[in-house]
Amino acid sequence: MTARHTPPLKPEIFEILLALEASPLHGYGIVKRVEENTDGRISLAPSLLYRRIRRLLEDGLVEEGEEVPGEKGRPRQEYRLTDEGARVLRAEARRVVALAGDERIRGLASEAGT
Amino acid sequence: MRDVGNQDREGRGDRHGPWEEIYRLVLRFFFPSSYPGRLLDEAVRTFSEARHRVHSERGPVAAHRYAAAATFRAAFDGLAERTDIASGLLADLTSGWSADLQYAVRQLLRHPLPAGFAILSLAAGIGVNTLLFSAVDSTLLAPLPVPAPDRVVRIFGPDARITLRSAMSPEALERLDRQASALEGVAGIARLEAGLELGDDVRLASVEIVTPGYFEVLGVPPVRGRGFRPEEAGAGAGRVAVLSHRLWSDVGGGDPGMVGGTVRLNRESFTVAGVAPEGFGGSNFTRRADVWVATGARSVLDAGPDSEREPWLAGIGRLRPGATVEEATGDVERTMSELHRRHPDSYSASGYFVTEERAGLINPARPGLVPLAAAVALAGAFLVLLVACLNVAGLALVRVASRRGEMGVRLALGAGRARLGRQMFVETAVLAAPAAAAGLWVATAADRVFVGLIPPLSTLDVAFALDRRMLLFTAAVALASVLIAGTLPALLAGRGGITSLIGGRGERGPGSGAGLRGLVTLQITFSAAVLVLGGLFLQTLDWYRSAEPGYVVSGRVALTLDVGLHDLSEDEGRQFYRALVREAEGLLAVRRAALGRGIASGGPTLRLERDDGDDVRVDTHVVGPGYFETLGIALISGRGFDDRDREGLEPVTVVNGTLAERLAPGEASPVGRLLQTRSGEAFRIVGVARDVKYGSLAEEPRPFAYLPAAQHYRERMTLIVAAAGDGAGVVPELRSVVERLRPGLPIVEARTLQAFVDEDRLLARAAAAIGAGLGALSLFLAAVGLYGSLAFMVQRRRPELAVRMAVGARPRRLFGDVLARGLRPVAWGLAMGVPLAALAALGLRGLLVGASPLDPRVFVGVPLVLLGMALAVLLGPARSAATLDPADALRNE
Repeated sequence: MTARHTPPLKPEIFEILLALEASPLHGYGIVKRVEENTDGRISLAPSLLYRRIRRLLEDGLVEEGEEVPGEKGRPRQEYRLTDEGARVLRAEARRVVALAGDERIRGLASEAGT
Repeated sequence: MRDVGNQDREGRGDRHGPWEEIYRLVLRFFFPSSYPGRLLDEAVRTFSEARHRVHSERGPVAAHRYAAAATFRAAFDGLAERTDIASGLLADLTSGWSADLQYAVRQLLRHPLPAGFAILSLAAGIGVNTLLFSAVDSTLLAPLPVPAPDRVVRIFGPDARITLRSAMSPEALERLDRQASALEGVAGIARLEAGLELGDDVRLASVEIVTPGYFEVLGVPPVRGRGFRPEEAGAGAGRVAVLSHRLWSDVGGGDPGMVGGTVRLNRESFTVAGVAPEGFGGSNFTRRADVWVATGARSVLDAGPDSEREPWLAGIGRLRPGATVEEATGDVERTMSELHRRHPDSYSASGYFVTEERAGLINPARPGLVPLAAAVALAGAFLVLLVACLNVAGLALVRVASRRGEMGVRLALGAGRARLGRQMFVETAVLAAPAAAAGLWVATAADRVFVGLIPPLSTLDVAFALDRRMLLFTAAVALASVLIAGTLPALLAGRGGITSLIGGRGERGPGSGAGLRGLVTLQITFSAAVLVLGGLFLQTLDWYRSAEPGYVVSGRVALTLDVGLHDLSEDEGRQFYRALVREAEGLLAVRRAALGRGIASGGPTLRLERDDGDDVRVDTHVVGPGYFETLGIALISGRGFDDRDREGLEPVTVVNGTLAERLAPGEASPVGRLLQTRSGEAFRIVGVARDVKYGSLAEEPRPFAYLPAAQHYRERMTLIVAAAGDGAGVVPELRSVVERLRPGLPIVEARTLQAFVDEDRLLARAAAAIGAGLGALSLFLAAVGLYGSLAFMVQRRRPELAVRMAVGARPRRLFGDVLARGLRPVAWGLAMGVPLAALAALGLRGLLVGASPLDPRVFVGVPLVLLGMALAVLLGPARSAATLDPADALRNE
């Protein structure tokens, strides 16, 4: 099967990878951190989150980490970024930064702001 | 999924409410079943945590709103996931066709011998199906070449169930034409042959004498000139003719001036009214008509009775759009019962019926026999195709099994099992394509041979053409065989998983034996069934070959003449025929000569009144002196005809043994008594002749009488001579005798009696030959397939056999073991196939003329043949097992 996760990434995938970049997280941890990182703009439904995680696992961008106690002490599966995941995340970051450096796009953005 | 339950129980506590249950159900229902259960568990837990946070932060209402939205979203995500997986599979299956194809061709070229066998098997299976389909299609299924042929029906009178002369009277047909509301129109047809003179050309023409509505009912108005007018049906009227397009263009050179000109039929002049459309040869595909005349000409051509009430016409009609055969039958029954009330002497009250035209080709006395025969032939051909497909499937299984490693590697590289399965279909299709082409070629070649077998003098006009229907049918059969032969290997390809395929030798993998044994069992089942039926049909063939008409055939020649073609008066005619017999007997090569109205029968039908009031129909033959001696028909008592039987003296007759027995049961001989008919005629019986076959070889004994030619003058007579040798050499001499006596008189027909009898056997022999041929073909195919499968089964057991040999098993024991195991599926196949065939044979009793449906020779012989074949096939592998070198065998594994 071909790797589906090459830049440009879907926003929620970018945010999931970004959330895992700092530290491994379990499912609900990802949801919370993505909400924090995006000021609540992206709120991941659990079903969508695990669809994405499944693909990321398949493509080797994310791997299963340890089982950690979740809230109320139940075991939760943690996920962490692989080297490949980190590479894809960096590539996407470079793409976004390059876009941000484009004079025309900055112009459009400021127009939209005013 | 069991995990879910466990975790569920563990996790169930204060935090798990009905929302979590609903959420889980939605996930499980909407997500594909292949979805990892762990991920779903995690999703439920994440949902639960998120819901509780919303609850604690924003209250119960917000929490419910969140839960509902998340649940809805879960359903959506589940469906999206399904679509993703499906489209991924689709992408995998819709790409890479050409690679598969190249790969398949390479694979098959690498093993040309099995591929060749497979192609040969399929070609035989496809070819025989195409051949039989085209034969059935062009005879039974092909509609009349007229517009809307499905609305053309035949109308039969009550006698139709006894004889083929279905007989409707002109009056009845004319009334039906007016009254039957389900029918647009009704017409009547009779056939005759007449000497046709067109310019300088003199030939025997096939003539249809028809009611005026004929061309309208069939929907084929003449392309030039006109059809017939109502007044041309009246007796004595209507000396007009419509020519066939073929006659007009071949003989008349397509001259438009011919319309309005004159042709002569039996020396009578007819005005050419029109020309029929191209390709239209009348109402019967087996006998192409050259000329049509109106029923008004019947007395001129001596073709039918003058009375309007006498039944002599075959009824034909055209249904109104939307009307059914049943409605038409109802109409016919109503009209006929009304006629019966008015003229009870002329019409029966019931027994009339209507059938579709195509079914009308078939003897109504034995309805469905010909379609049954055709269906049986096609079913047999399909069974042969199944046997061929099983061969191909067996070979494919061997391929699958010997390519376990390759399959495993492809799976490891990311190919789905669906893709591997597709590869097996592609490989089967690569075999089927050349096989279909070869089958088509064989079928057309065989068709030509078949057409070549039709005697040249026969008017049977069946054209086999490589048409679109035949191509479509062949393509469909080829596709079906790909599906049949490719499914099992496709299902088994890649089974067992990567590790077992590459490394292990899993016993349950493809080609583990169970599949092959099943195939062998099925092959034997079908082959046994086809072979038993083929064997029974061979008995029928044998019966027909040895069936004798009862008179001497060898060295006898029949020469038919018609002095009506030269317009001779009765005196001249009698004189001519007397001279002909005399001159013929004067020839050196001729031992005896006599005249007959035909060969075995050809006189008027007499109706005798029986004591119980019912009629006995007695067919007759009009013969001259010396007839019985010439044909070697023994006289049981009395005498044959001679010069004493003259016109004006007391009418005499010779009856056959069956009629004699009826007339004088138990008495020595009815000679001297009077034979009285219902119409008041009386014939003095002067002799009793032994029974012979008067019509078909398969007919039952029936009452029959001979009338002397001297007292029953006919213009058309057949000269029968007993000649030296096979008789064919005498024909030119007889022709020159005719030419000397009557220059320019055409010979209607000249043939040996052998050819006459053979023609009668043709159809039955064709049917029997098809059955026997299918049996032989399936035997060959089963042998090929059995060899492939059994040899492979032994090959696979080599390591086991080697180990047994190494630990001291005796070679003879191994030999017997291989034989026994190989024969087991054969025995199962026989156990299923033979009873199947017995059931089929009992159902087909009507087709098996002269053969017992449970003939022990066939039912014992066929299993023996199949067992013998299996033994012969097994002997090689079994011997190689017995002479196995254990070390060598194990090393090579």
